[in-house]
Amino acid sequence: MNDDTASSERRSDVYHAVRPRKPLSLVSRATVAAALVSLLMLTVQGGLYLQLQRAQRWHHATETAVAVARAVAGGGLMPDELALTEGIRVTMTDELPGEELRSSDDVLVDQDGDAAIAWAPAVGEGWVRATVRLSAAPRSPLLMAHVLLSLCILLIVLLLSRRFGRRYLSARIEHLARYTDALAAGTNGGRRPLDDIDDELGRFGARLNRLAERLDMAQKQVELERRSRDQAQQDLRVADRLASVGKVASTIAHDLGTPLNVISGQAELLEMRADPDSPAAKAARRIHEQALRMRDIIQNVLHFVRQRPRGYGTTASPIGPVLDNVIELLAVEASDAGVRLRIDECATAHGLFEPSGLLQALTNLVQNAVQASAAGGEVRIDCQVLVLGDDEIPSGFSPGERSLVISISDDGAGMSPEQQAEIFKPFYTTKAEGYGTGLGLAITTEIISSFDGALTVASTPDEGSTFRVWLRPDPQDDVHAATNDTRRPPEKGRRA
Amino acid sequence: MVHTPDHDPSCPIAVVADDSQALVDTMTAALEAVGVEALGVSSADALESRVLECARRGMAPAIVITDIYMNGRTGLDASARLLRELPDLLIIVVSAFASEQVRARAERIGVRRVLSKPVGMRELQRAGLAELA
Repeated sequence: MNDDTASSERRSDVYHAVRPRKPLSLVSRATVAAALVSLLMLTVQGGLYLQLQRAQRWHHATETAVAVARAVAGGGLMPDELALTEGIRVTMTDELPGEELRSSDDVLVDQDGDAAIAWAPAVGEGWVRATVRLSAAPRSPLLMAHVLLSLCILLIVLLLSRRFGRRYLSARIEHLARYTDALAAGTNGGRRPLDDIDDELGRFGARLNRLAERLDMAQKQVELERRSRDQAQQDLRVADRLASVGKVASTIAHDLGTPLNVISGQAELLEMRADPDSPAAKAARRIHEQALRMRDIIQNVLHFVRQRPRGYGTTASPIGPVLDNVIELLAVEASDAGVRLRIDECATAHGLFEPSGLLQALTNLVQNAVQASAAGGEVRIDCQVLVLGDDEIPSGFSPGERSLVISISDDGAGMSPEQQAEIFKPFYTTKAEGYGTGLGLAITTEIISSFDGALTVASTPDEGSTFRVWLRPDPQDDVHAATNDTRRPPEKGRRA
Repeated sequence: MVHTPDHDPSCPIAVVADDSQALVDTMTAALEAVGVEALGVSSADALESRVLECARRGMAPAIVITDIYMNGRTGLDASARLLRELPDLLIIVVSAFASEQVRARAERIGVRRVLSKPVGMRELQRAGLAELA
């Protein structure tokens, strides 16, 4: 292959690459074929009409020539009067052409080229020769109208056939093609072929539907098995981690148990020996309480990793002292982070819970909120007694029930829906590495569940998060509310 | 203060056993704070020998408070031996891991109470005084 040939082929390749030939669709081919056939038929029809019109015009010219010749021969019309009439000429002649002429009564007629000639015997002698050219005969307007109408009808038929062909044929075939492509790719996504018309394509579509349904079932089965396998693997990983954490927690619990017992015991002894109202007694009480809190935290981790909820008992208790304790515990951390802590309308709220368990749960939630807030931010704690509507029913509650709701809101970074779906699972944390075990919310959920309550979250990225602790209200609240107006928070919105 | 008849400090009315000296000191101080004379030891063997020695001298303690898991033998092993020798001895077991199996074995042996660590000093005092009452 020489260079010129190769260069030529390359140019050809480039040409085809830039302008690939697009094959004609079925409808286009059918339309073109119909157009050609129609044009052929129109041409034949037009030819016949032209022949017919020519015959009519010959007849008209002959009639005119006969009438003119006869009128002039009879003296009713002077030749001069026709001098200016285009296509008609009248002359006097003494001779007839030698050819055999046709006769129309007393008038002889003939055709000469594109003219009709009539001879009528003059009054004296000789003949009046009237010549009428074919061009003088009027054309029939119906012919042109017929041709134009035929063309219009042809055009309309072609357009309609193209339009409806696309709609009822091309579109359905294209739809079926896309559908089979989607089936092959496994992404049919609910698209159904057009099977509502009982024709070949409709029946083909119905068969594809049945095939798609079987594929859907198979895909769902595969997806179900995949999810089951993923869940099993995830459970296995969590179980492994829980087992590891359980061993570590057991060791920590054992090693810390005795020192904690010494701290709490010595604090108790100090408190016993001191004046009950003295600062020393207060400090000893605080040391004792915090040592017990550390004990509870360790025990909660132990219970959690052993998958045995600790099972708090519940009593009707006030929220206020628990929140005071939470604020006291976290005041320094919040201050260091530049975050304000604000409690609204919680001083008089009562609910069914165990105070040390709720203290741990709320401390977790408020601490998370503080850590999620930027400097200058605010963490708000609000208490409401709500009558549950149909729009927001936490797990375990029913519409119409009352719940004491403690809301902990921050204006931090917030969480995506995907993060919100994960945060209650063990070992999931949004904090930086080394800043969270991923067990806090899982343990908090366990604690609140043991109160027959619920924990929910609502969060918007870049706006903040609100965790809600849903507790059973103190059944005596109605009695309290009736006897002591200051016990209940003021009526607002949906509050009970 | 509750004393043995001849008030021998080596044979008090209560003996506390734990491998943490700090906790032994804390518990004995708590008992003495409510008038119960107490002595601390740091192993099951020391507990057995002390109690049996006092018993031979006719000054057996009235109550024993012991941890379970210590260096060497367990507090339950010592309790079983002591209760075979001294069926009237009041024994309170304190444990960080008081599982159902541990509680069941303690009950079979004849232990009076099982307290969970960390044990509160007021709880210990109440338990001790209740058993001695």
